[in-house]
Amino acid sequence: MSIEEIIPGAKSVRPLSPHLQIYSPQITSVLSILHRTTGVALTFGTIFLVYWLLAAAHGPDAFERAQIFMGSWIGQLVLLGVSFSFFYHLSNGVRHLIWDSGYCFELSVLRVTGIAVVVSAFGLTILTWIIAYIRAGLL
Amino acid sequence: MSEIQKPLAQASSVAGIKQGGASHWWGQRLSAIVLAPLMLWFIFSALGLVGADHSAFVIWLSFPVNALLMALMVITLFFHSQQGMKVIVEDYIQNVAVKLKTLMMLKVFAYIGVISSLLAIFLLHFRS
Amino acid sequence: MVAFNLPKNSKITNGVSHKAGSDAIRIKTFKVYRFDPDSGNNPRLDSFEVDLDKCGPMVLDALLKIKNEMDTTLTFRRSCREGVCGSCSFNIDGTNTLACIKPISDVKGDVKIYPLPHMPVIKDLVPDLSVPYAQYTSIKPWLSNNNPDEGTERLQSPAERANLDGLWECILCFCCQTSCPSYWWNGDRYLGPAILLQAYRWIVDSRDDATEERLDNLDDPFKLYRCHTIMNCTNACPKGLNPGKAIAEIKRGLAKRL
Repeated sequence: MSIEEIIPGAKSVRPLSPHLQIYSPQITSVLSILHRTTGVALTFGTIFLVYWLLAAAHGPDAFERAQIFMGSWIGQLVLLGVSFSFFYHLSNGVRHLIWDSGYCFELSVLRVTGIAVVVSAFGLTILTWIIAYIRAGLL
Repeated sequence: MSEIQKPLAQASSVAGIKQGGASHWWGQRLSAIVLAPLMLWFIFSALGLVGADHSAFVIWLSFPVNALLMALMVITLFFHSQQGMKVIVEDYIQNVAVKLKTLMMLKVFAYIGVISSLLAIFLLHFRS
Repeated sequence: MVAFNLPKNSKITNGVSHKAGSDAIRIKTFKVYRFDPDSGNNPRLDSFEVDLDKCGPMVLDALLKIKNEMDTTLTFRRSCREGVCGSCSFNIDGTNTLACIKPISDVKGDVKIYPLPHMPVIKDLVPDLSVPYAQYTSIKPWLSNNNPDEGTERLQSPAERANLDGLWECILCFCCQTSCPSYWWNGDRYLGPAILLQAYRWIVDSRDDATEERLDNLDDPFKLYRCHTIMNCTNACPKGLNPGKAIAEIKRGLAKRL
């Protein structure tokens, strides 16, 4: 319906009020979009899992190449991204499951669990990499 | 129908194909609950395999428990990921043709992922 | 693809500046979204310098002062000026809230006031709310009881009545509704937090007999399940209600029926 039909003489179509452009980032929405982003990242990460498994099935040479790639700086960067994504998605996923059970919806609790998720994601990622480096004899 | 009734008609209509929102939602939660411990087990195992050569990996997968858990993890992982991606596509892509095409591609991606992973696990398990 | 940017006709241009009187000491600048449907121009952001010593404490006081003394064409909804009518909901300083209960002193720097986000704008701060109102109608917000009216009250136990607390207080200001990114992208089909909170208000009402029908109506990938528990709604509610929790309860109700 054109604006002229509602308000005779009106010249312009109704504009859309600003949204993303003006809404302040909220701890709630930022952590939520991060859950989504890490989920997408992990979906791409499955490509590396499949590659690793197929390489192993193919034979020792292919597996060797896969292991070297995963150990290279670019491979490690990918694994770092995937591992952080996983631990964030896992931690926030637990938060989601608690919500789905009907708990922890109070605003103050919301903030505390949000911070806990971020701390846990970083903590678990760092812990995993320390163990990996010790296992590889690099630490 | 008058223009003024349009928003109500739209609000009341069942959007697209009625596919039971609840079952999709429940599937996503259930797969998450199954997947979380499996992924933790996988990361724990992968840490044990850091720097491992091919034979060590084959030996690890020759244990039925490991092969079985790997297979279960891969199936749940691709299911959960495909279901999650579906929601994202539904959220952001409004053109019906593009949406259906993308959803189909996601499904194909998940099937290729599951089948090739299961094949690799199967081959490796029965190699030793 | 959903448009994350504003359409061409919605881009905000620089507007007019109105200075405070030379005797003003405590000056606060209010930047207000303006749109004149008769002009054919894009929306603009006007700035008004307000003398805080001659102005009430709330953002609505400043808006009224601007309308009375600086620019009488400024258009916005307001009524009760005490947070019970839900008319003066705007995006103030980056979040949605009621201008009448938002203290000016809460805002650091300039006070930016926009209409509720991602809505068609009729004029200035007045958005077209016909879609959310239609969505409200679609959930049948009235008591549905199979027993005929026997001329007596329909009694509730104190516990049953307590289920309605945190729900009946909703004033339909749509602060939560328009704070929800999911509602921004799919507001034509997703009912949104305000409407779903109202839906739950009738689902939990012990006097209502249409619970199953109400749940059936919501078991839809778009009407209900576009809620991804982002929780901007609860964060925004000026009445301290919890739409996010109400939606979670509806989802739980539906899951129990599977």
